[in-house]
Amino acid sequence: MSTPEATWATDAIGASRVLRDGLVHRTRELFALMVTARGGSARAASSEIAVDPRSIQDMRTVPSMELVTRVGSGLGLEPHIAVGVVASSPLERTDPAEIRRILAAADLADDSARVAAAAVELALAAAQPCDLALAQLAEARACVGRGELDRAETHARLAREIGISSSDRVLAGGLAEAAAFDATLGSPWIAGSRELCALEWIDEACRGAEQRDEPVCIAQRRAAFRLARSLASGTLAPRAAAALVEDSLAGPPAASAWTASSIALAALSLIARGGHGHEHTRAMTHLFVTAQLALEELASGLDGSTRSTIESRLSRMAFAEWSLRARLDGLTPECIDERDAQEIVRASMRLDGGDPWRHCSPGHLARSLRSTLDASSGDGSMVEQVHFPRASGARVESRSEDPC
Amino acid sequence: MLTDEIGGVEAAREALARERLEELQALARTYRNWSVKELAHALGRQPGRLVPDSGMPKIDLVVGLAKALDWPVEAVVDHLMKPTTDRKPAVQQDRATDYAQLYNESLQKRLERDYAEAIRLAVRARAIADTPTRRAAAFYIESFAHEASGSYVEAVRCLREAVRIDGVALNWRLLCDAHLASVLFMQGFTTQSIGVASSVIEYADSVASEDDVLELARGVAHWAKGHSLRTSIPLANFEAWQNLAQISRDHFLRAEESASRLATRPGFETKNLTFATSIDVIALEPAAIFDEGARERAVRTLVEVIREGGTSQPGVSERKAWASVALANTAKRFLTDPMQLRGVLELASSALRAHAVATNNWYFAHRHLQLDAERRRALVDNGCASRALDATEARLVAGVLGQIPAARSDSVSYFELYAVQEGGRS
Repeated sequence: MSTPEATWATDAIGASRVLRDGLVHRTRELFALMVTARGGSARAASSEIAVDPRSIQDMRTVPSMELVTRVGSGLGLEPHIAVGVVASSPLERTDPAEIRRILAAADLADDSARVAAAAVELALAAAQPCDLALAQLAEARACVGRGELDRAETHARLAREIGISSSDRVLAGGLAEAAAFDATLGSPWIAGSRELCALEWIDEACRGAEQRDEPVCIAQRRAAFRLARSLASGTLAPRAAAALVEDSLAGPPAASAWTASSIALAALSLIARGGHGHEHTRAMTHLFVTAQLALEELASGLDGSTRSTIESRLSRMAFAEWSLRARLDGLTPECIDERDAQEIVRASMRLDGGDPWRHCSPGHLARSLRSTLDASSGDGSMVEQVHFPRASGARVESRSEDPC
Repeated sequence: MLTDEIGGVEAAREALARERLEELQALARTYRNWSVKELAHALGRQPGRLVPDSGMPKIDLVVGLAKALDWPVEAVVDHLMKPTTDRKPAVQQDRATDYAQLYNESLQKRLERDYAEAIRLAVRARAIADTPTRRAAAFYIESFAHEASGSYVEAVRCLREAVRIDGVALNWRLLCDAHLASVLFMQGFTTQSIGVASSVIEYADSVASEDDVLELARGVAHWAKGHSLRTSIPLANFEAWQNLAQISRDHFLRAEESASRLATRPGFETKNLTFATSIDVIALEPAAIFDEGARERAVRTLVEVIREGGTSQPGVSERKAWASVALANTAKRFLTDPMQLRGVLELASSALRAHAVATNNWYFAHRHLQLDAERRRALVDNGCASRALDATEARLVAGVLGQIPAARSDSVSYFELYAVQEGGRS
C-alpha cells in the first residue's frame, strides 16, 4: 500500500504528463538555443556535442540526464545547471495571498525548508512593503531552525522595521512565536539558545491585538508552548506534564503533536542545561520518552499532512536527543543501531534547511550513507560522519588580519 | 587494446553512476521513511527498474528524486555526476611561503581577464593556506574570479565555504559575507541578501578598530542592501514604498562614503572598487521614487551618462550599465509618452547588452533580456515580425538561465520568444 505522501509524489512527479511534456519541450528549446549559439546548423552543432539530432527532433519520451548535459555543454553550462534549466517550471505562484497560505501551512507543519522557500517566493512577488516584511520574518523562522540565531534576529528586526501589516497579525504572530520558542526551548542543540528581542517584540505585538479570528490550531500551539515554558520555569511538575501529554492524545492529532513535542523538547532543554539532580534528570528523561512513544504511536495510525507534522516534530525531538547524547555521553558506533542511524539521518536532513552540501561533499555523503545504513557493523566510521547542523555560525576571531 | 581500455573506463563510469543513484535513492527512502515499493511508486517506476543499467537516469527520475529528498535538482545532479573523490591528490609543489605570491598573481590574472588562471592560482593558494583567514581569503579571490567569469553559482559556493571556516579574522569574515550578499542579490535572492548585508553592517559598525578590509566589507554590504531594497520596489503602485526607497538611497550613500574613504588608500583604485563609479547613478532610481522633483532630472542625467563617450576605462562600462538599469526602471515608473518611453528603453537595453556581452555579467544580461522581451512582445502584438535571435544573444539567454535561478521561472517565455523564432531545427 502506498502512503498518501507517495501518492502525492506520484501525482506531482512520476505520472505528471505536464511535467513530462515540459521536460521534452524545454530540452528541445535548449537544443535550439545551443544550435543558434553555435552558428545555426543543427547538424554541425549536434556533431560537436556527439548527439544525434534525430534523437532531439523525434523525442517522444523524457530525455536522459546525459542527453541534457550534453546539450548544456554546447552552451557552456555545467551538468547540474543544464538539468536545472530544463527541470525548472514556470513560476506558478505569484500571488502573495497564495504564498501566505503556503507559508502558514509550512509553519504549522514545522517545515523549515518550505518556510524558507516561501520566504524567497514572497519577496519575489512582493507587491507591498508588508510582503517584504513577512518574507523577512519567515526567513527569521527558517534561520532559527538552522541554529543561526544572530541572523534570525537580524531578519526579524528588518521585518519589524519594514512594517508588518495588521492583516498579517495571525500569520506573523505564529511565525514569531514558533521561532521565539525554538530559539529558547525548541532547539536544545543550539548552544547559547536565548530570547531574540525582535522576535519576542513581534510576538507580543501580534498577540496584543484582538484574537477573535485566530485559527484554533494556532491557539492550540500557543497553549503547547505555554505548557512547555511552565515546565522549564518549574511551575509545572514533570508528573503533571506527563499527564498533560497523555490527555493531549485524546485531542486533535496536530495539537497533540505540538503539545507532546514541545513539552518533550523543554524537558530535554532542562537536561541539557544541567545543574539538576539525578531524580530530576530521570523524570525529564521519562517525560521525553513518554512523549516520543506516544507520538510514534499516533503517527502510525495517520496519513497526510497531520502525519507529516508529527514526523517533523519527531525528527526535531530525535535530533535534540541525539545531539544531547553526543554532547553528554559521546556516541560510539556500538550504541547506534540501524534504526537509530536512519533516524539521525532523517532528522539531520529535515533540520538542515534544504542545503544538502552544507555538511556533505559527495564523498562524505557516500561514506556517511554507507556507514549510516550499515551502522550496526560498528566499524567506527559512523560517528565521524554523523553531521549535526551547527549550534551557531562559524567561530570568528575578533581581530583583523592581513592574509598576505 | 584501446577499445578494451575505453570499455573499461565506460564500465567503471556506469558502475559509479549506478552506485551514486542507489545511494540517493536509499537516502530518499530513509528521509521519507519509504519502502522500495513506495519510492518506486513516487518516482513512477517499477521497483525493479529504479536504477538503469547505464546509471544515467531520465530527467523525470532526477526531478522526482530531488522532490523526494527536498533538495534542489542541481544538488542531485551534482552528486550523480561529480567524479569520485578517491583519486590521489595532485603532487603539491607549492609551499606555505608561496601564498602571498599566488594570491597576488590570482588578483592580477583576474584584472587581465584570464579568469581560468585566476581560479587555478586561487585554488593553489587555498591548498597551502596555513591559517583560517588565508583559506577564507583564497576562497574569496576564487569567488571573485568566478563572478567575473560569469559563474555566480560557483562564486556563491566559494563564499559559503569561506564563511563556514572556523577562526577567520573578523574583517575577512565580514568581507566574505558582504560579497555573498552582493552575489545573492545578483542571483535574485533578495531576502537572504538583505539579511546577510544587514548583519555585516551591524557588525562592522560595532567594531572599534578600522581597517581597509573592514571598510570595504561595509561598503559592499551597503551596496548590496541598497540594491536588494531597490529591486524589491515594484514598477507600478509604488507609492507605499517611498520609505523603503529612501532607505535604499541612504544605503547607496553610505556605500559611497566607504568607497570615498577607500579611494585614498593604495591598492583600491581599480582592484575592488569598480562599483564605486556607479553609486551616484544607481542612487537616482530610489531617489526618484520618494522625491517628485528628482524624477525629470534623474531621467535626463541617466540618459547623458549612457550617451557619454568611452568605455575602456575601468568602471565606465559598468557605470553605463547601472545607469541603464536605473533609467529603465525610472522611465517605466514615470514617463507617460509612449514614444519617449520606447526610445529610452531601447537606449538602456542596448547599453546593457553591450556591457553584458563584454563582461559575461548575467545580471545586466537578464535586465537586457527582460527589456528585449517586452519590446519583442510589443512588436508581435503590433503585427511586426520580430528579429531572430543571433548567436551572441543565444549565449546571453543560456548564461542568464544558468546563473540566475530566479530567471528560470521565465525560461518558457524566453524559449518561446527566442528559440522558436530562430528555428535552428534543420
